[in-house]
Amino acid sequence: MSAVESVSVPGPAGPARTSGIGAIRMIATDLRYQQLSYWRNRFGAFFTFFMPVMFLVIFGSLYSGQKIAPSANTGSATINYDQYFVPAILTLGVISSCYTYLAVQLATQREEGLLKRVRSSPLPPWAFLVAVVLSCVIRTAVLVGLTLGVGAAFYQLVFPPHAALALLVTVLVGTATFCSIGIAITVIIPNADAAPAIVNGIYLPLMFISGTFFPLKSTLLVSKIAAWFPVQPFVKATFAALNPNVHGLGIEWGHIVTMAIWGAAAMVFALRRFRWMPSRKQ
Amino acid sequence: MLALLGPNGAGKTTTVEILEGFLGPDAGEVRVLGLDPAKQRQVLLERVGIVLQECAVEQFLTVRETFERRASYYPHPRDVPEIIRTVGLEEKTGARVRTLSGGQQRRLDLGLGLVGDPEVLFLDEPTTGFDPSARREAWEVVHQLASKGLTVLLTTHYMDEAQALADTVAVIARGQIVASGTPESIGGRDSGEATVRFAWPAGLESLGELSLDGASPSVLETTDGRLVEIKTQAPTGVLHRLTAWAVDRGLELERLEVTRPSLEDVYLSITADEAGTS
Repeated sequence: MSAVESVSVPGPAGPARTSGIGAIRMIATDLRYQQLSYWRNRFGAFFTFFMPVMFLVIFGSLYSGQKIAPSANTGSATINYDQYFVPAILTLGVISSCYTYLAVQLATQREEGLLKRVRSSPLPPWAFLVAVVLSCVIRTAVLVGLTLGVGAAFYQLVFPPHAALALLVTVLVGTATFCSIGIAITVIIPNADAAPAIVNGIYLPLMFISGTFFPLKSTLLVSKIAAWFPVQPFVKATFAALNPNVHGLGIEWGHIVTMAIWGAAAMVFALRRFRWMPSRKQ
Repeated sequence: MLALLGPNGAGKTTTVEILEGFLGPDAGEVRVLGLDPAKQRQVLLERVGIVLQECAVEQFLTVRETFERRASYYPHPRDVPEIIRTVGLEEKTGARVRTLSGGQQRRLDLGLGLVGDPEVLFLDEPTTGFDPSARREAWEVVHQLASKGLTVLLTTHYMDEAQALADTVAVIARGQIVASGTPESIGGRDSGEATVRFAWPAGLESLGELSLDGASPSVLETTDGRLVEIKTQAPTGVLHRLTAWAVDRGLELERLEVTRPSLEDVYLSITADEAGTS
């Protein structure tokens, strides 16, 4: 009786093929199909865009044109509430596109065996993940453009001169951070059904205590707690990027570094622990 | 084509996943096409096709896009329209994957395993959940491929599938190959006792002077009525005497049949032996 480990199929060895250009072409091709797939899934596209735009319309209808008095947080001149809620809801959009959607997508794809299927093809696993992240970046860019467009067209959002560069830096770091956290969080998601509960269970409390809807006094206990997590720094940095009272670059390096540390930690964790195989069904 | 046959939990999928490089072996050495599946996986994956059990495909791409996407991963892919023809999905070329029936999805799966023009194809329970006509169609496709020289490793727990497709069958139980051979000869199928069976002729009081050269008939009461069964190493002689006896008496032997142990009988006895020794 032969033991299982002696089963073999003979044949000659062949050379590997992953040149730089080949890899870029592979990523670009896969990115195209991921985008096709994403936009065709109307529910997925709808839910990524629906929540941020809905909040924008609700807050816009209720509070557009109201004033925020000068304070330590907002600067020395009175500003429109629009300058606060549009950037804050922009962070909500980035987070729901990068963190929420990505985590649920990857956890579901893992449990359905779609990621295992990727591993059964010669597409290098890292190339697949790069395409996933790039696809997420494209979606996020569209959402950011839409949020700012709606804010400027229908409400009273204005762009101070420093806004372009400060927003670019802040949103880029935010996108990278929340993509990393979205990928990392899949490690603790045991099955596809649990994904939305875990993902939202972490974000929703942070969303409320991080001043996503109203500026919270930084002396509050919840604000002090939220300062340790990446959501509040993202809200504050995005607000500063669009705050007309800010002089200079409007780039809040302290907050950006806080986010980046979370992003880097999440990336290290994801690189070590990311799972491609479905959990064994017991 | 080699079929790995075994009960659930016998180690079929584990074996295949080791060969595919999804799992590392606990001990021993594994080579597929001369390559180590665990360490040289990336190179190996360009030369083998893997058809997995229960693995989703992106739902919102069309059949053609799904194949083209997969083809873009390989250095020398096969022609996409040709693959679509091979697995019989021409009419669904432009349809989204989510609109395919179960059998069509499985044929898509099979096609995806073939896109890279593999030298070896792994088929893990390819027809589980198929309706009978879909199974026939899938078998036909696999049979054609194997006849063109593709090496196929099939795992299945369907006897008829192994019998229909494989040149060699290996029965696996508790991680060990416990029997192997052609579907016709495995477990002594070709040399074992044959069974001659017929229905008890209506109105007959007893078998009387039926003499069968030492083989003795036994009478079975079954839900199908009373049957006579004769086990013998020499069915030709037994049949000759039996039919002469019946013709002499003007009897028609209803439901007369001569059978060898089916692959399933052999399989059940092999795996039962294994279970008995543990």
